[in-house]
Amino acid sequence: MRQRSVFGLMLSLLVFTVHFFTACSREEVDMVKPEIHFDFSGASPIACDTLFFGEVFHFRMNFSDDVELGAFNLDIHHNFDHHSHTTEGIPCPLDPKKPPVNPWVFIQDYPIPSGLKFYEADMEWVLPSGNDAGPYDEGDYHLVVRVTDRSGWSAYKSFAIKILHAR
Amino acid sequence: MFRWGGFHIYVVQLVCSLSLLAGSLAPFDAWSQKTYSLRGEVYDDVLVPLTGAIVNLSPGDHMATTNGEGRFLLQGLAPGWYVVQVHYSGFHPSGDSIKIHTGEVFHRVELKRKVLRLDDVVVYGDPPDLLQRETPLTMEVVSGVELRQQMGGSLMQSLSRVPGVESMDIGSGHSKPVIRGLGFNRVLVAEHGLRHQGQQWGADHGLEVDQYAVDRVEVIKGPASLMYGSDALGGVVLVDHHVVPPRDMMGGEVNLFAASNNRLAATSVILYARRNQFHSSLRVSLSGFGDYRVPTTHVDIYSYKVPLQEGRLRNTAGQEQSIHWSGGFEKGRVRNRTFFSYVHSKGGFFAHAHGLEPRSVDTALHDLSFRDILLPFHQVAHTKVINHTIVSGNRSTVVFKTGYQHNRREEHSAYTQHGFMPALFPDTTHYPATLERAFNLDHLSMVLRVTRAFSKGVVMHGGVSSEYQQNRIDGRSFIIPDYSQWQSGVFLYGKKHLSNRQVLHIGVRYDHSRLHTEEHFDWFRSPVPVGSDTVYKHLLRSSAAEHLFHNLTWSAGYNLNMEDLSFRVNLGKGFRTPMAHELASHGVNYHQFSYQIGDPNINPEVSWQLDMGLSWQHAKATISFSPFVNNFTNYIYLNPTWEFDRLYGNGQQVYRYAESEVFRWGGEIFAQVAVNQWLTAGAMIEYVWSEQLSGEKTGYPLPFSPPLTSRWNLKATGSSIKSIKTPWIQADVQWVASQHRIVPPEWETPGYALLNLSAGATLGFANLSPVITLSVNNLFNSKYYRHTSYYRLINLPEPGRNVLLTLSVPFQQRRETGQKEPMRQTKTEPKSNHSIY
Repeated sequence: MRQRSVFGLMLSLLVFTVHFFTACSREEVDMVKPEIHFDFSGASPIACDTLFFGEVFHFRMNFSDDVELGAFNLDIHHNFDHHSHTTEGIPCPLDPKKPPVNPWVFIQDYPIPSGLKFYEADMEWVLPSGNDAGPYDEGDYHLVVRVTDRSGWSAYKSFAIKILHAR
Repeated sequence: MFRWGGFHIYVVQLVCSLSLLAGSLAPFDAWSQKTYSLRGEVYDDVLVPLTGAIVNLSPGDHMATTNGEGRFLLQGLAPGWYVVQVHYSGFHPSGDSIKIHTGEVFHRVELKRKVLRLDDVVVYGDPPDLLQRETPLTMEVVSGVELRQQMGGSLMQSLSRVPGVESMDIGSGHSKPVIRGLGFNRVLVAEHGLRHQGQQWGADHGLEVDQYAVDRVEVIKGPASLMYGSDALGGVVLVDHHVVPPRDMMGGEVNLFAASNNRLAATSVILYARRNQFHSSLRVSLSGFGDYRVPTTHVDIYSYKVPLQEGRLRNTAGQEQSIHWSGGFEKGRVRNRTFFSYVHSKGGFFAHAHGLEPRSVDTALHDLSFRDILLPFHQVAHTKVINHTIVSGNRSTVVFKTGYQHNRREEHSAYTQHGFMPALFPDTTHYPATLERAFNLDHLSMVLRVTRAFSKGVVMHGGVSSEYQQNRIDGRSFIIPDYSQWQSGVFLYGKKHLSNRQVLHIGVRYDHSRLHTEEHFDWFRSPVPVGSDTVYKHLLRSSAAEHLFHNLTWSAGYNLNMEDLSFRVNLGKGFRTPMAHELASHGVNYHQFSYQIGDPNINPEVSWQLDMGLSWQHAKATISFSPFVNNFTNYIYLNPTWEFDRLYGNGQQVYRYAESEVFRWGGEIFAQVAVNQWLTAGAMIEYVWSEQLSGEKTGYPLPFSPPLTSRWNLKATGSSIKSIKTPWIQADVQWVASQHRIVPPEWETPGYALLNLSAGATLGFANLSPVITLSVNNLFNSKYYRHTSYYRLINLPEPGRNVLLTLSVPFQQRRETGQKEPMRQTKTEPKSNHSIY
């Protein structure tokens, strides 16, 4: 009799868990990461591009997501120590390593208006050629493009570029 | 089956016992010598005392329950012959005839377990420690001998064969425990019964425990906050070293380990001696390993393809050194032991994936040697001193433990300017440019516990615990502030044997915690817009704050143990006070290329769990089923948001600590059949399902959810051939389903199957009995990913084929003193394969 009641208890627990399992049938959640598109004509910059201080920098890439985009971020930092690389295609030729003196740093995030599944980023601005400490170092730089969707998924692309002073 | 009357009486007794417990701190009842009495001790097969075993003496219907030291006393006996029967759930009952002829007769009993084994991991229905014996919680025990047979790269990897236990690995030599899908600060690790306090809050931080020194591990699955306080809500891993050597024995053991995949070589040597009541032991362990190899030519980190040389993951080599000493005495009712340990480990981080983004490194430099540890690496030194005093009376036991721990963790990497740090690292700091982060932790703890056995099978435990910790940071990069914390708790737990077969448990605990975090400013200036101007300021990363937490926890359970069938159920509440990183972190996570931010308003995590267990044990077969249902009212997790950080890092995605309600269920099924005299077949299946019911990630599971995992095992044991004793060979298939239930930023992980083979034997040479084991893990060199591995997030596969060799040579000698221990009826000669017990 005892054995039977124990089995009864276990059986009810099983029914209980299975009930939970089926009752909590999964609510639809976003399982798709956003994407960065730069494979169209007019996309800028492209891997191994050369930009110039004091000249107009044109950023043109598209972002997409199946539900809702969040924000994108641009980060440009020096690659004089060759720590960075391109994630796109073949490695770009790099100048010899050198110590940074006054490298240019650019970090900016751009919220994407809510409710969008597709966003065309099209911005241009003049790259500053120096600061109080003097002209920026020219040479190998690295551009990182990141995008998120509202669920917190993210995508990442990086581009090796050169930024030189116009001659 | 369930008698409310009995329950009511039990509650009444529980309340009454409170005052008696306090009284038991007073001097113990004197041993009665006026009448005849029977004194005794009850042990399990590895000589761990059994608490709460029921001793029946007939004729006369005398009954006693063993105390926390496994001892019992029956007084007021008439001289003559008696039958002593000892019952303990999960063990075969014993029956001996004894003659009571002198004033006090000593009788010692060793009970044999009912259970069989799978994978050399012993699965017990009941735990052996003072407070967990006959626990209604699910518990597994692994002995050091078994652990050494299944040695992995780290303690938790070796333990991952235990049903429901996973290891979260950081490379091949460091890991931390995950129990039923919960890890980090949700699993408490205790050494010698005191909380191990390292830097376990960090996902990339391993556990500072020398696996070679471990003589016994117990794993409690489920909320054990009642006994251990905060952090024990996912489970507890109890680690013990240096089992007390037998009287007048000296000996030791030499252990050698080698593994092919990461070219690991390790040795661990212990020496011990005991003369009369004094004993001491000393263990030294050394290990070193190279970069581990994966069966692939390149790995893909966020779409950056990293070519590997011979499949070696650059800079994952490591080394560890440790020393453990223990000394103590046992005199009459007093036992005292002191443990000292120092564990130092150093390990490289995979060179391409540490920092702000996937990195290209000087591959020529890294590939010169696969044994060197270059930047980035971490280095940890953990020092621990623990003292135990145990005073046992015939009905009561008082345990007092104090401990001091110091943990220094350093993380080094090449300086990389990010955020608005200067391009070149200044030479004005007091630390080197490579010191990314350092943490200096001091931890003091004490536990006072009183156990008293009452009549009618009631055993009460009461205690207080208190601990203080202070963590000081250093280095160029900020993640958590300096903090200090006081935590104190008081608990009362009782169990009542309703009969020989039924045990009822109930316990309550109150905890109080005060956490103080200090303010922290950047060492460099960042631009802050003020009106139309921009000023450069040292930014405040964390403001000083005082957090007070308190919690009332309780737990109730029931065990029913019949001849072949045993059943247990437990309902308990677990809690965890938020840690400094959850309240006040503000920095870059260099392993995940993300930026994490704490929330000072986070509440203590609370969890409710219903645990059940049903097992059927027969001479030739064992089946057990341990399901659980769990609800977190507020699970604290690191939530990836859609925002980016601009000022402090390098534009990383921001992850914020958040709370959500979580529902989880799961369990383990274990079965084993003795096919015939020499062949056993076993299977183990484990599963956890979780879902967040509120918050931003509603509908998603918890991070690092382990997939459905199973293990299928065949083991053949041969008979001795000359000097080869008990040879065995086993095949072990691990089949793991794919994991599609993921939450940002995880990756779906495909399923895999692995074949592991192992064989071993005890050899007989002269007076030595070396134990040798040879195993091959991942025989087919399969490329697979483990969802709970820390490196899964950066897409690193698990190690390829690995051949492991372990050799243990125990030696022991009895000191000829001519003195004999009176009345000890048991063997003191150790079993060859339990050499140091």
